[in-house]
Amino acid sequence: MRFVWASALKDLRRLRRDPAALAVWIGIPVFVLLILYVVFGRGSVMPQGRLLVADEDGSLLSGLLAGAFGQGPLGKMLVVERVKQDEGRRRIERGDGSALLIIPKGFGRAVLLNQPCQLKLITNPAQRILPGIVEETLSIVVEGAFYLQLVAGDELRVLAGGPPTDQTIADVSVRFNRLGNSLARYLDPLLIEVQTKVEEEKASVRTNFAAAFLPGMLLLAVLFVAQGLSGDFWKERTSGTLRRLVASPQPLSWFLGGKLLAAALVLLAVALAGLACARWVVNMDVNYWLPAALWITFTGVAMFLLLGLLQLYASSERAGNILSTLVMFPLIFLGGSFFPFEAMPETLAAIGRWTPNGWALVELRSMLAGSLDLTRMGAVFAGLAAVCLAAFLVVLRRLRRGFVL
Amino acid sequence: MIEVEQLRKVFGDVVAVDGVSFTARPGEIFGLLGPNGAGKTTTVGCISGLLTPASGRVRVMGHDVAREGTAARRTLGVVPQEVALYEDLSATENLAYWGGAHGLRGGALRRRIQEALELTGLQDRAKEPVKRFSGGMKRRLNFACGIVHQPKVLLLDEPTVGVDAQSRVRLLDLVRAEARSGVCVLYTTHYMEEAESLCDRLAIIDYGKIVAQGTLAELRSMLAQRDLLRLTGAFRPEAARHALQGLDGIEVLQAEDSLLVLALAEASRRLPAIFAALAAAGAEVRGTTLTQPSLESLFIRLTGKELRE
Repeated sequence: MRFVWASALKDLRRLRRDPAALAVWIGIPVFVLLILYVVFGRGSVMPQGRLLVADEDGSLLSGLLAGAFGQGPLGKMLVVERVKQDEGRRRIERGDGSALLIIPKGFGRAVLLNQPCQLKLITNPAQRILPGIVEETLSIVVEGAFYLQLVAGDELRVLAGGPPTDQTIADVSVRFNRLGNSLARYLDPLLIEVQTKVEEEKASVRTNFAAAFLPGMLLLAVLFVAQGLSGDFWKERTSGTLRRLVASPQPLSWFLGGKLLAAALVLLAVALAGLACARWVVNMDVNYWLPAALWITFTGVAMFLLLGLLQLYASSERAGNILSTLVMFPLIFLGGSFFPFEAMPETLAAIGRWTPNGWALVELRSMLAGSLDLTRMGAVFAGLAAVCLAAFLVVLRRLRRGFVL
Repeated sequence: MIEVEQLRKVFGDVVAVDGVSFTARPGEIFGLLGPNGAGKTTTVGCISGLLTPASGRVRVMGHDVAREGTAARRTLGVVPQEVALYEDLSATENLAYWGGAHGLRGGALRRRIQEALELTGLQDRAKEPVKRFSGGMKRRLNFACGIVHQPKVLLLDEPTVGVDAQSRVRLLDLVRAEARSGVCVLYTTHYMEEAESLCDRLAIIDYGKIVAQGTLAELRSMLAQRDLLRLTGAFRPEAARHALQGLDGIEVLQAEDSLLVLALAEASRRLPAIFAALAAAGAEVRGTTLTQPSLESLFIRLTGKELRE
């Protein structure tokens, strides 16, 4: 057994002397995650857009309508910019803006006199969320104007007659006071009470984009490490060290055991670093961190053996690399290691969950979310151990028969 | 001791080794001489347990390689043809790994690493990664990894291929030192001069078969002290053979359009007669090389051709 450790130590030393390889394997997922993190930030996403308003009326009411889009939470999402109609159309055509609202001449007077008037909203087809919000807000405003006409149409029509005199203002003020008093029995106290309840964000299902990507990225790093390490079988063969070992009294199973141990230690380090990053950098909830780290490690070892098997059955080192890459990339994209299952069409996601890394990802997420019971955890670990054992025996058989020569 | 009896190894339709038998004794350097592809490496592979023979028997220090493989390999040290080292590791780390693979541990391992480094003159570069070594240094370390565990039997498979003259001399000295310490050495090579200067006994192998074996003196005697005369020029092979048949004691070993190889006693004295006979047969001699009896002349005599590189 001492030779298993000696072999592992030898492989770890070799890997330490070639830090560029390890940097590439881990660097790609880290880089992708970093980009996602920078783009989406730590919290939930607040889309931002630009609403172009071509106000051809220039009245008080058209000004109020345009200003409505810059109020409250809407103001954080939309920047309202006043433009001429032609300029607005040109900008929307080239995609510069979420929507263009055209307020025609006579809008204010039409609202006061309860006459028909057409607002035009031109949306950017390349955007979905913000134009939808603008459209929804506009329909609410139009509806509000309709109800205002119902309760205070006469008073509004008085104001539409031109610049009001002092007498008119006093008269309308009295009318509004009376209207208020008549509505008071409905409004104070309110006959309908609307209760607004905002549910607290559940800690385990934070809609944090980086957190959604991180487990997949962790398994992406594991896949890269596993593929890189599996290529070592060919290096041992081409350098002649494998043949030299066969001429020694040590069994090949110990040599392979040493390779597995080295791979497991590297993968465990990657797993622990990844989980620490998840917990303290991305503020993700990390439940069952030790089982999760072991799960990532075992997954990596299984992938190392499976990709190693492809390498061992390939006709050359180059063919082995191509073959393992051809298998690995569909697994990466289907198995949720690059795109989360939630972002995939349901059919593809269903297929992806049955890929080795997809299955591992589903279980990993369950562990991290704390929703995996111990019995099931034992079962999935036993399943993975069985896969590892079977792959170990096949790799050993191939090493003994044919590959060495 | 290595005992090989009627060894046969087949790869598909190709018979790589066919009925090879020899015995190499402790303290002896036994040479396996032959061109590339003759079956030397296959024979070494069967002895080291890398290859399974189709038939025949191999025993190393009394252990049957097929049935007591592990026990046989414990006594073996192998210096393969390729430089089988970990280039990212240092010389010390390589020696520690291969020493450990043969069961050395702790203080014994450290002592042997030091001795092997001193023996091969690598102690000053012990901590450096092997990838920074020259070709000759790598070859020496390759040798050191084969002897670090003090094997009783040492298999050297063309250890001097691609080595500069200085490193070659040093390596050959190391091999001699191993033999002097009682190790049984099997040395394969296709360099005649190496085999002549190094080996106590030799087997000449070609196309998987041993064509002759014995001590150097025994092999030389097979040539009956005859010289080897090599003539270059323009010849008609059949006409040349016919013309030389008229001269006593001349054996035509090789006859081609541009080359004639003859074995004869006192060749220098008989050159005028040979030239005259060849001229009469329409041949044009442009160059002459006279060689005293050697392994090369024996090889040509036995196989009818020069040693292929």
